[in-house]
Amino acid sequence: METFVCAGCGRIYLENSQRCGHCGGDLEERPASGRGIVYSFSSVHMGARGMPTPYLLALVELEEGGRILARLADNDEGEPSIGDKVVFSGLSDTGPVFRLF
Amino acid sequence: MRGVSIIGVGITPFGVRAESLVALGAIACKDALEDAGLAPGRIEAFFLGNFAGHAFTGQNHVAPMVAHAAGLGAVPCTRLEGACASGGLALRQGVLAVASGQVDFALIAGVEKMTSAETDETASILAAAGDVAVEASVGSTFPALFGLIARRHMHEHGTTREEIAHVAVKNHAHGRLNPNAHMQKDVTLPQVLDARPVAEPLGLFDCSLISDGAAAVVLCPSETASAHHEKPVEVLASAQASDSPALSDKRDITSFYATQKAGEEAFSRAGLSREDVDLAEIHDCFTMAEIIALEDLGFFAKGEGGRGALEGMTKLGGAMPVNTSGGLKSKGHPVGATGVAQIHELTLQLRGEAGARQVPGAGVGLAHNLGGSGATCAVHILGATA
Repeated sequence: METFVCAGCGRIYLENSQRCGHCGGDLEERPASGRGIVYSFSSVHMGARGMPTPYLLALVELEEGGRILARLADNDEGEPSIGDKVVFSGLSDTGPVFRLF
Repeated sequence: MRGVSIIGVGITPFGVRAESLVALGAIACKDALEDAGLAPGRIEAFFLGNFAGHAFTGQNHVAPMVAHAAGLGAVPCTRLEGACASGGLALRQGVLAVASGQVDFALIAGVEKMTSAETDETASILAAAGDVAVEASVGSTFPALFGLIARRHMHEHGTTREEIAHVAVKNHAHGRLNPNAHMQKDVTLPQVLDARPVAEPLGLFDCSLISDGAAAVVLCPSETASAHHEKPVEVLASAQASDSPALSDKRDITSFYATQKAGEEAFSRAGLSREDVDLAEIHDCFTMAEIIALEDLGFFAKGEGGRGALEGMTKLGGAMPVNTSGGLKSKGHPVGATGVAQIHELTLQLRGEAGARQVPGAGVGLAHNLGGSGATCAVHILGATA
């Protein structure tokens, strides 16, 4: 997993857009393990327009520091818990996706 | 800077309303002017809180339209947008305009017309109050953001699902006594706990209502206020603060820094302590938000806010009733109107005119108005005339 971290505000990006969309700062490439933990999560039953429900949203805290809001892939183990280990599994139309591991 | 007082308040009933966005605003303005005994021509500045007139109804540039419909003439009209805190920001600009001596009479209104949109469309419009690039694009809605916040608060501070649910039970019990409330009926604890999930752990009764409505307030210098109303209510403090909208940028998602900052400044400006507050209107966009605000404002220690509703301290008859109007939960949440409607409720209470939901001897009231997931916060403290 590759991340691009803003030198100005620290926001984490998964694609290199050269400049931070938040503060305009320069992005610096930072290799990441793709591993992190579930900082919090919610199963969304009434979603945004055009998004099939339910889906799992998680605030993921990366091993290298920093948090990103992402989808959690469906899994067979049922509901996750805060602190569960997750790994990056790719970018979708709705942004980053992580899965429990 | 000179003292500023409220000499008139107006409101439309909240709910599903037939009137247009502009007409709702004009009705509340006329109601407030009548309460103040002022002709519209006396108003020198107009400030309007409105979040998403265009997205909900196709209409922008709402401030001069409401002013025209209310007969205000050529006064300067300014619209304020700070998501769900738009009304609080409008009030603050009116307070500053009168306090500075720039104008003697200012009219403030807040309005939103939301019920003409479908629920998922409304969720998307409201999601634009968050950081669209990193939140809405991932499928986050406001209930989802507050679901994440609630889950973390429960994890870190041991707040229980029952404590959170009691906020809904309390605010509905209050709203039942408010003839202007959108939902004037009780809900039970099992109803809240067993309701359809929206964004877990939050269910349908943890969410505020999607409503149409408007509220308005007339301000003038405190030194002349008693000439216009027999019970003027003084604005003892007006404070505002900001923070990053995105949850991923916040160090701690179980508190809102903007609330803490605005609250500290408001108490400092008013020269009052938490014990001096008799009642509060708190921004309960979600049940969890009321608990967090009570902690951030210093009424409860961190992690203890859930005790407020559970143990009855924040109920009518308790030590400091919270959301006697029913709050956003039961009175309704026409986004741009909410911050002004809180002031309407506190003014009635401080005049002793709140009827069945009157807090006996109410002398000091606090209004807390939050925008987005904590990016904007306005706090006002009001005092009754001695």
